[in-house]
Amino acid sequence: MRHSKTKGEYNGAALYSFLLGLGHSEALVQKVLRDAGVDRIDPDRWYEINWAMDVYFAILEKIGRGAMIAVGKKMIETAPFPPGLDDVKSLLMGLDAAYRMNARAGDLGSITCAFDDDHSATLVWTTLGPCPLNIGIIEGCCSRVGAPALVEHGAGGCMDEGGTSCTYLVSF
Amino acid sequence: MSGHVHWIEREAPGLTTALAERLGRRAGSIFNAMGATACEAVAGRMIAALAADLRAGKDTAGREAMLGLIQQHAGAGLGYADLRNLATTLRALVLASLAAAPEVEAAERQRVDDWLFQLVLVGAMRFVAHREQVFQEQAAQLEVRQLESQLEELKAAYDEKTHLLETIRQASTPIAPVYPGILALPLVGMFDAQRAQLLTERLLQAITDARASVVILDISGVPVFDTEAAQLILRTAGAVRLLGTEMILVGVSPAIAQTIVGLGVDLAGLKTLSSLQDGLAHALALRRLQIAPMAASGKR
Repeated sequence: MRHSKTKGEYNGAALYSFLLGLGHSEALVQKVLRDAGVDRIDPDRWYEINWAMDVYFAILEKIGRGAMIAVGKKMIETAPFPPGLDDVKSLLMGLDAAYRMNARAGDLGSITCAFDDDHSATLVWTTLGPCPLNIGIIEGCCSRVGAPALVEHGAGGCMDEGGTSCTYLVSF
Repeated sequence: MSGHVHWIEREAPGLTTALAERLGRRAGSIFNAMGATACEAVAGRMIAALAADLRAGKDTAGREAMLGLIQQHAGAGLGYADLRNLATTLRALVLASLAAAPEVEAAERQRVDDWLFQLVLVGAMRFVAHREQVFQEQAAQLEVRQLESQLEELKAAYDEKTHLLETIRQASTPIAPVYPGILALPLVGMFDAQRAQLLTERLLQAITDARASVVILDISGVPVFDTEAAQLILRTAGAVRLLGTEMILVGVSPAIAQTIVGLGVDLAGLKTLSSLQDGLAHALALRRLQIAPMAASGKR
């Protein structure tokens, strides 16, 4: 698990929409939130970023990798997006900006996206959240516009296992 | 020698170098991770397979090269994106090279294109087959783990149940000294062989400890009194008698009495009475004792 050293903040709305994606596991959500010291997430306020990441990782530990991917995918498929983001390229290229809208810290990390051709892309993430959530978010971006994708974790290490970045190879 | 064979033999070194360089360029790919030398080897095998198949007029070498690549590197993280990268990069390089080779005839160009197409097909098929095998192995391992987990849970539940039953048995087989030399055993619950064994062991020890001459066994709390239960009680009474102690059976309800008669069980060797009160009176009588009202006190 990675932590920000600059005491940043995380948007409650993003965390709230993630928890909505877990809708069928209300008891689980309540338990994780109780363990984290709150009863509910207020979508209109900002939370301490490391605390928010701890919530993500606590849920990952409970539901596992596959379910985490599914939740990330569902979260993106149902989230409201600005007009104009209506194809895979614009959605994937916009991920870094979307991340920065929901997190404030000096050491947030980043999301870079390079398209190898019209139907494949390489994304490098150095963000704070769990790796399976990132995969779900990428899958959600593609399926949202009707382009189901194969997202593979690239070689070169995984942040959840102590690596400095995660690389995702996307074929759609 | 046909034009396309001349062409591939001339272009093979350059194609190999260019393919290796481009494969290693993509961040996150297995080719990037494996290093330049290994990448050169992969590229060399692919180009050599193309040359061999063009000479032989087959596609066997290409299929074997692709299968070898997947077998060798799938466990290390070779993904679909890597195969796609390999196929598209190889195709782009080969077609560009062909475009600059006017001596290669149209039919021969088509032959090269067919070979590249076959390479894509066989690569995808082998990759899916490998994935399927991995998933099956993972599913089997998961099922084994689940079964082991269920077995552990069942064993823990069984141990807990056994412990609980033992506690209940201990608690439901009290031996109460009601008067010096007289013990009472109110039985509650099912009376089976295991419980009879426990009862006999504890009773014989209690008789010895208390030097009891009479034991009152109250079966009013036993819900089912069948042939087996009757035999077990007779056996316990026999063991008690060997210590010189008499056993009195009380709590025989009308229903149990009818059951005993119906089953044809012979309890003739055992003194039976209807209530604990009767049993206690009889036990006291055997010891030449009785319960009498206290004399009224004359002082106020």
